[in-house]
Amino acid sequence: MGEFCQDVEAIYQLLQKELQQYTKAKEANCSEVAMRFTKEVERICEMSQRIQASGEVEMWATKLARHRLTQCLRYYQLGSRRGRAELHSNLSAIIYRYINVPKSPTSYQIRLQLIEDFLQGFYAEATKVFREQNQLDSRYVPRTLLELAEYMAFVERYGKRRIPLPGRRSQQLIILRAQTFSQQQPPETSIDMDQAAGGASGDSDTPSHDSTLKQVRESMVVNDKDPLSSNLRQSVIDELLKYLEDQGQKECGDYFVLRLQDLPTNEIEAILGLNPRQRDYLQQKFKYHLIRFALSHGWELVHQWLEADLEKNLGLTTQEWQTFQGQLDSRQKNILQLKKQGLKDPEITQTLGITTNQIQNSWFKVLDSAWKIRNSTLSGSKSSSHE
Amino acid sequence: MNNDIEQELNDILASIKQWLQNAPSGALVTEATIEAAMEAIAPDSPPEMSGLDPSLDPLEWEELDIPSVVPNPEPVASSQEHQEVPNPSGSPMVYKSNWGEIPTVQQRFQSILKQRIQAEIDDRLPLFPWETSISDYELDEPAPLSAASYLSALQQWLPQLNALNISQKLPEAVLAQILQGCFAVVATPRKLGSQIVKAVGELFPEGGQSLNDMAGLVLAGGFPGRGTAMMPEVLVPEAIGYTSATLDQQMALSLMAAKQIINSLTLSVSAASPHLHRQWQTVYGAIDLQLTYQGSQELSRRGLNPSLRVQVWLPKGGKMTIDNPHDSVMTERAYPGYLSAELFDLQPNQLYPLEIKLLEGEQTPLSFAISVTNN
Repeated sequence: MGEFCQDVEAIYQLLQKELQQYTKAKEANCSEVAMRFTKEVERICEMSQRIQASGEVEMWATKLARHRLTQCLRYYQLGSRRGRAELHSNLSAIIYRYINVPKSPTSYQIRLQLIEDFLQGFYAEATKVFREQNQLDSRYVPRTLLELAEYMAFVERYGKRRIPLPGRRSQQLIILRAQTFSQQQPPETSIDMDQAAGGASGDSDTPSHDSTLKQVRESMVVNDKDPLSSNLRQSVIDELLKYLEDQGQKECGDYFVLRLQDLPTNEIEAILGLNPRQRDYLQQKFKYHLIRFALSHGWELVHQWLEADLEKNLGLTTQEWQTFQGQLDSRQKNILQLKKQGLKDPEITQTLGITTNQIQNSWFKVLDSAWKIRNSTLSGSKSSSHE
Repeated sequence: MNNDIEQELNDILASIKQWLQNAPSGALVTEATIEAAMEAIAPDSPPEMSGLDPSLDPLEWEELDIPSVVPNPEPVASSQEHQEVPNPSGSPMVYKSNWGEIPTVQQRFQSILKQRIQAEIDDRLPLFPWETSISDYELDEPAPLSAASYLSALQQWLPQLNALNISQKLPEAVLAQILQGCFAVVATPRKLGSQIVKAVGELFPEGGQSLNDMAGLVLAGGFPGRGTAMMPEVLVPEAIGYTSATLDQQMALSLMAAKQIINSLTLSVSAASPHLHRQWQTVYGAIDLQLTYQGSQELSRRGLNPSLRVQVWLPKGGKMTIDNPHDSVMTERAYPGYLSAELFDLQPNQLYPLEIKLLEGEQTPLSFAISVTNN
């Protein structure tokens, strides 16, 4: 224990020194802040069984202290205005998906207003916790830029605090709070929202559109305790986003990401600052690139993830495989044959005496045919054919 | 055409989904588990507040995104058997339950939103709970903020509140804080219930649902004047002062005050009642507001737009600002006397913020909301 006390002193010295070096705050002020960080770190180290069990208390203490220092200095450098804009927008983005009024349609503007309300309450809560944690007077408020930076960094950490959930899951504290907040919206507000959403855009087509989308989305809620599937899915998304970026289609990537968030069309438009026609165009572009990716650039990854790679006959049953082959012309058949043998495009070029472009075009069509057959089976019957 | 594309896109997503469903799957986070967890960390649970709950390892709270600490930010191993090896990195085991929660997607989504929101809040930066205006927190002179800051910034507007029949029950500092809250919400397009909840929210940061419930009762007119039979438990006896009242009583008193204040701050005109006269007592004397709305049908028959004339008498020099979605009108004078402004392009059922500042250093403006309705 005595050893740890020395470490604590060392950590305090380190923090105090760096705060003085990197801020213009007065020495006394740096000391106060450094002391608060030190005490917090000390408390965590003492209470954390993981840290105690790791036998590397000092290393952890330093890491935790540095983490706090870095965050605080970052807000300090941003200053009062940019700092709070940073904090506020950051937290807003984290909770955005979780802020809504139950059973009411939302819009970007409505959510923003609710987020505003929510965060005001959250700041009040964080202020209270900050005072308690640091044993400060209940009237304490930050007076200097350094103290404000310390506070903003705390609010960020507090909001992002991981709260363990049953079943070894965890969630960020601010998200749990946001969910509670959403549930507590008074009913009259939701009437308000209804009117607002209905009156604002006047699109009466949203319900039907949203419900289809929602159905798709709901059934897309998958569980990936299977690490392989989860990893592949992650790679597919990463690759797709990278592909779009490489194609100079960053906004298609943005659109894709928003599509994956259960957001109604009007909200996507508001976030991207597009009108319906522009969004429509973007959607077409995205679809084009998505297909190019699935059937050309990223076909191997995508098909592997779909469990429809070549080894599995592109996911077709024996009967489907026959139908499928019947649809191919001779060049396509040859390419399929060679690909199944594991030949790469340059080798196929040589073997068949055709250009890379021709291979890619043919291959695109091959995969497209298989895709269509799979889709027709899937949409045609619900019978599970996964055996 | 659009529908076709939409349909196709959905088909692609749906087929992907179908395939996914054949993949091995586990259990989702259910509503119940989330609720249980939320209860466990309800804002008023003291152990969590002080960070002293022995059942939670505080390291788990940490969001350490320092690379050396989290060598592999996407842990996939070991979750299946629920045999997570004690992991000193404390890297959060996030269980992704849908596409939107895939880390890459989430990060990208958050960065899109963050940019968008940041651009939006640049000109209306948020205030922290103790602040009444944004200061730069310059290094050598601590901002003069104290518990009494509400009072000093609002002092000049308080005399009007003496006229409220509820005001005697509330300490001045509390009234000032409610007034501040009302200024912030009066011109927002919320229903009265939400407005008053929000206006007093800072006094009861943990009020939550009970504050909402109480607001419902206050609006339903449970008190005063119509008897308190509806809610005997929060009956507010005449003799009880704010400080000795129960929390429920304090909420009720504050909400009632907020309701009365918001009513005083809302200036409603319509074609049916086009004239409004309102006074607001300040420490310098009364501010006098007169609104005249011209929105009659013969006006539009003559091809003229509806208009609103606002005339204000100030007891000392100051300025008046009226915001409308397209522009704002600002007019000022150095000595006591009249200011006036006229608004056109009025949209029905719209709220127009009207702010008055008197010449006296830094202060919170007196904020009204003009409400123009058609009938």
